[in-house]
Amino acid sequence: MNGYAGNVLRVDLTHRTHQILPLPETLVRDFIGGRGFVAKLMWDEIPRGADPLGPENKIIIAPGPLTGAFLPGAGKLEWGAKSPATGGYGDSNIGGHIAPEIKHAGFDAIIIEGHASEPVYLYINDFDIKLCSAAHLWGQGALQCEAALKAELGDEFQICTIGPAGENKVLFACISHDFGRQAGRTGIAAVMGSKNLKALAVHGTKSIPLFDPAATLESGKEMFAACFAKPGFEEWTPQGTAGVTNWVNEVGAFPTRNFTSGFFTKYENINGEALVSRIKVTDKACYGCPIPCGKYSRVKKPAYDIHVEGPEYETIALIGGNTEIDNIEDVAYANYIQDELGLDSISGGNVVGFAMECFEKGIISSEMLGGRSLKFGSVDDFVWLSQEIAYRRGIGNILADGVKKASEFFGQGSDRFAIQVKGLEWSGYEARHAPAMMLSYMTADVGAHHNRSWAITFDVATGRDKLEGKAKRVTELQHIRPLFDMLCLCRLQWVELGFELEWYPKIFHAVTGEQRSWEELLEFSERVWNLTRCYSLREIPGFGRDADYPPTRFMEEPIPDGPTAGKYMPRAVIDRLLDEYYAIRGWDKQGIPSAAQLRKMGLEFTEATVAPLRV
Amino acid sequence: MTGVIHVTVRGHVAKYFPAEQERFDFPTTHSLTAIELLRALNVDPLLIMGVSINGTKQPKDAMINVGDEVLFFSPPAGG
Repeated sequence: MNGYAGNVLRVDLTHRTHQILPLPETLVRDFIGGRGFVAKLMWDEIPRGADPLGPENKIIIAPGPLTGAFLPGAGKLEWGAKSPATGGYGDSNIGGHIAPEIKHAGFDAIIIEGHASEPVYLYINDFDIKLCSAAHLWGQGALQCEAALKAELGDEFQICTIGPAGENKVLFACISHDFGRQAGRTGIAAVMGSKNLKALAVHGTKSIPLFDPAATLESGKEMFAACFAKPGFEEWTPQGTAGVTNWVNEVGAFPTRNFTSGFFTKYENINGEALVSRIKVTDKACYGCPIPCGKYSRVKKPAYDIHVEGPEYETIALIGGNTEIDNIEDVAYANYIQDELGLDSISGGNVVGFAMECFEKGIISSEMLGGRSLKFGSVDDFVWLSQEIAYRRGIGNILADGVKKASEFFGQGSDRFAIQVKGLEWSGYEARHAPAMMLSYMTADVGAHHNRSWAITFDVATGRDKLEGKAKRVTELQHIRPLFDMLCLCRLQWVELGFELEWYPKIFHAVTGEQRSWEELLEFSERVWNLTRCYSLREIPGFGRDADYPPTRFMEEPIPDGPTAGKYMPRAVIDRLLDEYYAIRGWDKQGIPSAAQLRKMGLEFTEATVAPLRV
Repeated sequence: MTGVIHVTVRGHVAKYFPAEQERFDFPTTHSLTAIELLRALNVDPLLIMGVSINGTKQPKDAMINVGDEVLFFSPPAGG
């Protein structure tokens, strides 16, 4: 099969064995790769009702058919597992350089199952595969561990690691790679920790078969040239994603003070300009990327001297605005601490912000913190609490399960301001005056994450008080953006440069020999979207419409200040958005796909599971 | 003086401009601000993250003259 290495690696941690199996043609035919493989293998492989942190859960890792090819941004890797954060479908993707390495080692998917009796790391050097002791690495920080393994194995190995947070099964622990790239969302690092799996080290030297090598090379050259020729190409790189900080404040959508507000008065002290002028050392790119969004920074103070990749926009929003840390140096320092601990800085900033509000309201007392305080704006408090969470000490043990479960523990109405959907903490866009963005968060299959549908410019362009067309656009974006995760491509060329989507079917044909239009590829993405819904329906008792609502704060509390002052999104509006969205999707009022829709999607194998759930 | 302002739009918001074009000329007889230009194009000025005039970043209320090269930036997503 052109474009594919042709093999699936199955690793059994319990019995310390592995198998190299042929890649099923039906998997390729129906699910393409990356996220598609993850979703289908999760459905098939993970037993219904599996404990996310038990040995029966499995980690699925998959590059895509375009991974490693010569084209812009072909270096993404998809990770999946039953999410310990949500109990349902979980995935997260990572950039850097490891995806092509896995493909060149000979694998289109890796299935990791069981539980190692002692800490190990998975060593893959082409078909030389073994589980090695990680006793000397256990306890190390995520970045520290990567450096240690690089020193041990050589720079030619690409490494993914977890930090203490993953080891301690913090539900928002992240997988780290390339000294600052993370598969941050849905807690897959906690699944690694539960399996005693500290790291993955991969080196590959095999060729990947291409349908038309000459056309692949030529198309790749044309795509790079088209990127370089895009208007404003030079202006994109210097600030990277941090460059959007000003704009998000201008439109009143910047998470501030645990999403109390959408405007941070001190944003100019943590924005892209502050990053570039005060801490940035250089740009940093992933495999095959012409527009390096990574910023490598250094902060030197009497107490510390740290290097960190970032801060990215999401970190600036959740660590900066959301906890009111008001200078880029401290945001970078807190970012570094969470990176080394192996905490997702999106959920990490959200959880700390929630805890700070609990403290302010007296729900968390000084006694519960061992006599100390927990105040908005304090980087010392932020760092202290991050460490308590990563090591599950004291109050940190409660917060390590995320804001949804923590609010259930604390009670006293704290669920109103636990800013999450489905158990996944909300990322960097306050959406009380952005209906398409709100619906995007509500209906993202993994929980409140922006990357499935980033619709806030659509809201601004078409009117933020209008609801017409919003559900339709969110649905379209939920097919377009996850398709990138099936092909395992970075989508920033498309979003940031306006790179035309028509390029992708052309290179897909050159690589795989499959002639498919963009619209046809989107049909595969819609299939996967329905399958991930079915997966969460299968795994979470009572899952459906109730799981798609935003936190009460967004439905009842007006934004107090800034450009969106006075705005909130009443439940009636939320209901209208959901009704329209379900109708477009062919789902019933409870958000359950109809039998006809499942047939249309080629998902008949889910019907027996889903049918009893329909009212 | 009759002439044009040369307009370029970087990124995904180009689809919200007239004819969904990345590059076009805007005919005008007089100077106007970036905000006024965007409104004349029926584009909400909030949609644009930044403006560059003749290669230099400027605020949205900066004045654009006939013959100038204007670049509008889309907000980036990610991180």
